[in-house]
Parts: sequence; C-alpha cells; structure tokens
Amino acid sequence: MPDSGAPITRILVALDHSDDSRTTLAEAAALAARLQAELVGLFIEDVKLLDAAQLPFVRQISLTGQSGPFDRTAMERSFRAQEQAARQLLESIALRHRLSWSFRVARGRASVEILAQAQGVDLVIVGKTAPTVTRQGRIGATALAVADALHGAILFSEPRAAHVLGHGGPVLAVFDGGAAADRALAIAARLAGAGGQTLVVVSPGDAAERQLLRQRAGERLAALGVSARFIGVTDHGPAALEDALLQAGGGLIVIGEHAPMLGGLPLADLLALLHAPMLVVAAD
Amino acid sequence: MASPLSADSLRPRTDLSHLKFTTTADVTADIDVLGQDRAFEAVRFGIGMKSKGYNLFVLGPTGAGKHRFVAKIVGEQAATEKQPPDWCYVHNFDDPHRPIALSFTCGHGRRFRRDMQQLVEDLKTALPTIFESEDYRNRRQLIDQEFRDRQDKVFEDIQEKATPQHITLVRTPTGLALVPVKDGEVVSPQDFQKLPEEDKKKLQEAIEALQMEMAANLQNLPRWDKERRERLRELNREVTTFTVSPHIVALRAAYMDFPEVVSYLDAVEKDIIDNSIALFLQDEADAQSQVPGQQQPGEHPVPEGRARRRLSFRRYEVNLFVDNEAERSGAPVVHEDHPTHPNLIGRIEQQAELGTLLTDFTLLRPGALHRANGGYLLLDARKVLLAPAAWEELKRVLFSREIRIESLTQSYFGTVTLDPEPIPLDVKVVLFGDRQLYYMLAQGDPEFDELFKVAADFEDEVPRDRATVERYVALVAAQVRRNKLPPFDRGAVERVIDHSARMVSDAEKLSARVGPVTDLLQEASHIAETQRHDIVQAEDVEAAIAGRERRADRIRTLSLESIARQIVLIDTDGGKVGQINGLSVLSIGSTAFGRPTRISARVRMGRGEVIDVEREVHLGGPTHSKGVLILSSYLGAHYAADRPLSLSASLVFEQSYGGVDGDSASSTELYAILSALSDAPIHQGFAVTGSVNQYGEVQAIGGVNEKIEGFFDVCRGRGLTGKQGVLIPVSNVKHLMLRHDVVEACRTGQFAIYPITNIDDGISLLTGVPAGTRAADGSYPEGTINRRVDDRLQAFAEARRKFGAEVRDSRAG
Repeated sequence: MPDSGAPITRILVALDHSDDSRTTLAEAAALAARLQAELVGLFIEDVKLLDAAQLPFVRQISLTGQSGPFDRTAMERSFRAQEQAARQLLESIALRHRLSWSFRVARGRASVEILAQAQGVDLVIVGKTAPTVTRQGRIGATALAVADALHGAILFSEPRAAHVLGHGGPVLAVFDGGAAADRALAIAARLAGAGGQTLVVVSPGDAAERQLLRQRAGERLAALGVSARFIGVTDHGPAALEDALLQAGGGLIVIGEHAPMLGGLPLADLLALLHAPMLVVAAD
Repeated sequence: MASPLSADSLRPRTDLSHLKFTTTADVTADIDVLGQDRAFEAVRFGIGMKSKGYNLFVLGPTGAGKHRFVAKIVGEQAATEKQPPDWCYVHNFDDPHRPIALSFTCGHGRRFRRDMQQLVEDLKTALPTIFESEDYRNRRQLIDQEFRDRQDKVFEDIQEKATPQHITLVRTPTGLALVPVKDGEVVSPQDFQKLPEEDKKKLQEAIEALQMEMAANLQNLPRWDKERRERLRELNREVTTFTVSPHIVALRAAYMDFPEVVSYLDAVEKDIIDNSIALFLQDEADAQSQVPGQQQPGEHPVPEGRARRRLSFRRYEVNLFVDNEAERSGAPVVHEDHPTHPNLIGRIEQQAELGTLLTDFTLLRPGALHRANGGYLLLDARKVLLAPAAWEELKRVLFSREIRIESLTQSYFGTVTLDPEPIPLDVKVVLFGDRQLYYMLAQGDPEFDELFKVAADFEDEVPRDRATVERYVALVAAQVRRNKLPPFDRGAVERVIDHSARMVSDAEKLSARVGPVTDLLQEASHIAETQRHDIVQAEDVEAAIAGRERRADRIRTLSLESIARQIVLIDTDGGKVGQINGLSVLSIGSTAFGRPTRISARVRMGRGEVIDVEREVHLGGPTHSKGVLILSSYLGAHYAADRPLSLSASLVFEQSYGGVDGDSASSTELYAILSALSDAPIHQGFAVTGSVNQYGEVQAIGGVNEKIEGFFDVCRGRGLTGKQGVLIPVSNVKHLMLRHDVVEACRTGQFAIYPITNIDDGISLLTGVPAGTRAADGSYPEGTINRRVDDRLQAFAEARRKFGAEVRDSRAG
C-alpha cells in the first residue's frame, strides 16, 4: 500500500457475477486512466455457489420463473461465460483508455482471494453491494471483510452514483484529526491532482477545531503544492458528511479508517447510508 | 425556238429601297416567326381548350422558331391564369410506405414547412425540460419504486419463509437458488451428506415448496413490469399532451382551411404523444426500457441514440414538393429539356446506410409534370420517345390525370420502396417534333390522337411578297438584337433575304426557318468583325454564304475534278447522236450540289419497248422507271398511233453506279432517243433537266438551281464558249435563285438558261433542227426531227412486218 507520498500505480478491481460488476469495472478503468495506473481485473468464482450447485434437489430459478437444473458443470460454464465477458469488457475499456491491464481468475471465498491478490497493489476497488436477490443493495460481507483485513486503501464503488470517478467530480478528503487523516488527505490530493479535479477538504468540529484542522490540512497541502476548497461541518456522523457531500455537489469521499468523523458508526452502516463512492484508507 | 432567259430573271433580287432604314438598329419591331397564322390559330385553340386530351403537338421544320413562338404564346396565356397550389409530401403515420400528399394554396406550403420545423425545435426544448422537471422525476421514481418493492417483496417473502427452515436465497450468474445454510454459510455437499436422512428430507421438501412458490410468484414479474411500463407510458402521455397540445392547437387554427392538413396534424400530435420519450429523450427511453436497477452504464449507447433520434425527427419534416411561391406569377410554364422517366414523373431517391439503400418521403423528388401542374409543360417529342418508358408514362399520367411516382426499378424488379399518394394532374402538354414523327405517332400509336388532339403545323416557307419581306426585315433585326450582333445594313439584309429564297429554291418564296438564318447572321457578323466592319455589309453576307459552301465543298470538288480529268466523261462541246447531258442533284448532309451525267440511247427494230438499263440491273428507282415507261407511251402515241411501235431503245446513265431515281431526266432521255432515231446530233454544250408527260409537255423538277450551277461549273472549268447552257422546264423559272457568277455569265452571253415548254422546243434547240409540226395529212415536213423519227419508225415497222412474214413462211414451209 502506498504511503502518503507514493503514487498509485497498480489497481485491483474485484469482479463477480453480479450486475454491478460492470459498473465497478468501468469506474475502475476511468480512475486507472486518470492515474496512469495498471489495472488488474480479478474475477472470483465464488466457491459457495459451486458448493451449492453440488447439493441434491436444489434447482435454479430464472427471473422469468422457470426452474432448471443447478449443477456444478452448469455453474462452471456460467462462470466461464462471465469471465469471458468481463475479460472482453476490460480489454475494450483498456484499449480505449490505453491502459496497461491484466486479468486473473480465482476460485474461493471472495474476501480471501482479494486479499491474496492484493499484494503489490496500491488500491483495491470492490463493489459496495453484495450480489443480492433484492434491489435494495445490501452492503457486501466481502467488501467489509476486505476492508477489515486490508491494511491499505480500498475503494467501494457505488452503482447508484456511477460515473463519479470517471467524470471528474470533486474529491472530498475527510480531515478530522484521525489516525489515517493525513494519509487520506494525501491520497485525495493525488487523485484530485491527477484528474484535474477539485479537492474539497471536510473538517468537523466547532469553530476552533475546524480552524485548527484547516490550518493543519493547509500546511500538508502546501507541502504537496495542492490547493483545496474547505468545507466545515459542526457535527460528526454520516449526516454531516452527507451535508458536506451535497455542498460539494457529489464526488468521491476519501476517509481514514476509524475516522472520528464517523462518530463511532460502523463502516457498513456508513456505506449503506451514503450513495457515493468511498475510499477508505488504513492508518499507517 | 426557245430563247434564253434574261439575267435578271435568274436571281430576282430583293429590293428594300422602299423601306426607311439604314441598318437593322433602326428597326424596332420584334418578330419571332413569319407567316404562321395557321399554327398560331392552332396553338391559341389548343391552350384555350380545357377539355381532356386537348394537348398540342407542334410540328414543322427544325429552326422554324416553334419553341420560342409557342413558349411566348403559352407564357402570355399562363401569366393571365392563377397560380396552382403548392404540394407537400409528409409522413404517413399509419402506413409509412405511402407518404401523404398535402395541397396548399400558393405560398402556404413553404409556410407549413417552416411551422413544422419550428414545432419540432420548440418540442426539442420543451419536452426535455418537462421530462427533467422534479415533479416528473418524482412521479416516475414512484412508479419504478413500486415495481421494485413488489419485486423485492417476492424475494423477501421467500427469504422470510426460508430463514426459519435454515434455507437462504442466493443469486447465481443466471438466476436464483434456494440452498440450505448453517451458521449463515451455505452447507457444503460434504456436510449435507452427514445430515440425518430425516433432516435431508425435510430440507428437500422445504426447498422444493419454496422453489414452487417462488417460481409462481416470479411469473408475476413480467406482468408487473408491463404495468410499470404502461403507467410510465400514461405518465409520459399526460406530460407530453400537456406540452404538445397547445402547439398543435395553434397549428390547427392556422391551417383550418385545409382539412387534410388538420387531419395530418392530428396524426402528428398522436405520434408525438405516443413516441415522445423515444424521439425526444432517447437516453431516457433506453433507461425506461430496462427493468429498474439493471442499467448498463459502463457501455452507454449515447451516440447511437442520438443518431437514431436525428433520423426519427425526419418523420415530422415536410417535403415541400412543389413550391409555386418561387414562380413569378400566373401558371407555370416548364420546358423539360431532358424528359427521362424520372425527370418527368419524379423519382424516389435513396441513401446508402450501412450497405443498405434506404428511402423515405423526404427523398421524393418532383418531376417536370409536378412543376408544370396547373400550367404548361413543353417537351421535345423525339427526346421523350427516346427515353426509356418516358412516352408510355407520359400517356399514362395524361389518361389518369394523376401523377404517381414509381421508380423504374420498382416497375421492373418489384423492389420494396415507397408508394406515394398520387397527385391530381391538370397540365397542358405541348410536344415539339418534326412532321415525320407526328405522322408516325398518328399512324402507329392508337392513343396518340386521344391525347394530342391539336396539331399546330408550322410552314416551311412563306410567300416572298412585299408585306412578308418587310416582316422578314423585322425578323432579321430582332435576331440581330437577340444575339447581340452588330447591325446589318440594308444591302446585307437584302442578301440575307435572297439567301432565304435560295434556301427554299424558290424565287417567290422565303424560308420560314429562323434557325439557319440566325446562323447566317452570326457567321456574317463574324466575318464583318474580322474585316473590321462596324456594320455588317452585303459583302460580309456573301462571304459568309461562300464560306459555308466552301467548307462543305469537298465532295463537289472531287466530282468536278473527276470530270475535268475525264475520268467521268462529259462533253461540253460538239455534237453527238443519241448522247445528252442530264443533270442530277447529290444531297450530302445539309448540302446539295448538281452534277452532269451522260445519258445515251441506242435504237433498233423491236417490239416497242424502251429498255431502262438502270432498272434492269436494279439501279433504277420506281419513279425513274415510271418516267421511262412514259417515254414508250409518248413515242407510240406521237409517231405510231396507227402501226406497231417497232422500236427497241435502250437508255443508259453512263458511269452511274450508285442508283438513279426520280423522273427529272425523262425529257432528257426522250431527247436522246429522238436524236438516235433521227440521227441528229445533240449539241453537247447543253445540259437538260425536266420530266415529260405522255403529251410531250415538259414538267417541273426539283433542285433546278443546283443542277444549273453543277453544269455551269463543269463548263467554266473548261472555258465558257457562249454556246453552253441548260434547258429547264418553263415551270421551274420561278424557282431560279442562281449564284451570282452564273447570273453574270448569262448576262454577258457566256452561258444561257432556256425555259422549255415541250419536247419539240427542246429537241429543236438541242439539235438545231426544227422539230416539225404534223400536217393535216398526218405527215411532218421533210428534214424535220419528227419526220426523220417518223420515217425511221416506219422503216422499223416495215422491216418488222417483213421479218414476221418470213418467219411465218419458214414455219409454214
């Protein structure tokens, strides 16, 4: 994982059989293009599904209500078809953006495989929601597991805010005095600088706290040669962060792990509440 | 004996001294044609008749000024008539293959096109605005959300029932599956095998029950989605109607006088309302066609959507097919110079797109019939006949009185294309052509007379009287002005008029063909320019005529040369029995020249036949044969009325290999026979032309000027002796318009033209021996030609009688 000054040169995007994977891949490619980073596509064949496909009497029901056999052979064939489609999509996007790219397939538990493949990667991008049967978008256990275990940067893409990464919206750095705040600010500055995007620094607290945070952030950014717009919020918590997001006009949130801004809210809840892509940075 | 004609009668000169003008610049009258009263009346009648089939065929010689003359009359008439309606083709929303034709009073077609363009532009702004409004979005999201909720509820209900039974619903790459779980994880196959049979059975039953329930519930999804889309459509209709209707209402009010247009606007309104999202908000359409939450934003088809939208807007375009606003005033007069099938009835153009040829109503193009509808269409008949299918199509539309655009490809290959609504036709067609074409059509096409009931026949020539000559001066002046030529002085105009008479080979007529006269005017102007004459003079005109003849002179020169080199044998001096110089005319292209031909006759006892060698070898035409047969009749009636004509005469056109026709040499042949019978030599300084009848009267022939000039040129080449000349029928004297050099030679007595009335006059002149008049006892005076012929024929008869008796005796013995 990069330190605050290191560039992001390699991005891993996790793909699976869900509909949102295409969105995640397109967003990752756009980000990689802006950063001139290598993009590694990782398609994960969920071993749970393969196990389920070996169970007797379990049948697959299509969305048209038609019932059909659900066996390991058919499952593997489906995975291969999806891998092929994902590879072609990655290739076409990479060609369009002139990206350096590679594509891998792994079979196993998604979180385990992502962590295994994340070695030597500067940024991991995963879909925020799990491949669910409902449309309400449950935050994926895989994403949370990776976030817990990964000591680095993980970006949760948001299908309902597609194009935020690719279309050059602002980058919001949460600078709240937390352990990972400096690192989050540095990565946000680098992302904004690479894409020519506006960097917005969000600082919570009362006036004195915000002033102090703004001063510190200003110093850090001055050292990096980056200018920013500052938004202060009086409260901590997701509502304050959402308010800042609205003021900025949407964008990518870059926030440190266990940031005070969360007000003790679990990451899963924050992800569920905010409809924006979010990059979570672990502390050094 | 016949006397030679005076020089003045050989070329009656035009004298304009009675007219008060110095040059054509002084003549202001504007005349296009001469003496076409009959044609004028026919054209007036034709354009005045409004009944079906009263179209015109204007026939006459090329260059007679038919087009300009008729166009002028038609133009004057058209200017007094009302402007016909505009026509537009628009999309047929019920049947796109049959575009609708809309009629507007003049000028409204263009306005309607503009109004429709404005409507689309307005809606392009108004509809996206309304569809992007908060209110619309909220209502739409509400519908989508309701569908999502219903969909999720299916799964949640199942999941709710599944969870207590340690079963969960998982998403697979191609659907859903209900699987057993333990501690939140899918039970592996190995763990499942370890379960007690009873638990396995329970799980199996539970899963199967849930599967059945879920499958049943999922079958509701298409219906719910259909309901969602229907509700969205209703919402869209409501919003679109709110936006579109005020625009359409305004248009309806503006075009309430045109019921078909109002109906079309109704269809436009319905179509916009039905297709507003697809047309005006393609991106939105892409989104609404998908189940909410299943969009594929990674590969958004925006460019394709925009292209499709651009094409779709064409359906509201107006193809301003016939726009009469551009016309000056009155009814249109259209002259289609290239009357092919598509140029007449219009065409359906196609555009290549991705390797396919596509078309729609905007690619309909009008033909000349559309542009002339309500007015007049002027066409060249020959061009129409030569263009594939054009003549038949022209007749078809004139019969049906409606123009139906149909491509030839469609007719012959049955390809699927458009079938535009036909447009009613009310047009007067004026065809121009020569007489041959007219008579060919009249005889060969049974429909021709029904469609072209009026023939305007232009004269080839007009009388050369004082009034016409004055008009001719005006015609020349008009042509000079029209062609921006320098003025012609009086003498030049006189020469032009002289040449006009020569063109028709008649001293008492003038050519009615304006075209060749205009050519002469231009050529004379060119020469005047090279001579630095500001005003074109007589010598310039003479030089132009001479230059024209010289340029076309190669064959004539070769012919003269062959005579001069005695390759073709022609005597122009001395006397020969049974030999005479005949005259013929060779026409090559637009030029004609005369040439002498030796004709010889030999006689002997026979059974009264004159052998035409030309006919025997099939080089003689029927008219020539007729002339020769007349000779037999003349000889028999004139000399052997009371005894058998015991003559066998043979006639030959010496050194003639190309065939002979016409009877203009029949008198010449008769002179040769009489010379042979009378043994009287014919003076070879003469050449003869003229036909003869059974009574020995010499009759008029054609090409008299060229024939005389042809023999004159041969004689001049050898040196004029003063004893040379040409015998012509007296009835041809009025046709004489000879070259100046011939006239001058005659004036000085070096050459002579003799008018001949009958054979006796001619033979007397040719042989220098009197023909002799039959006395009361039936005999001719001693020594005369007729006496010598009579005696010779009597001798033949006697000899034949004796010969016949000897033969009979020998047979009897």
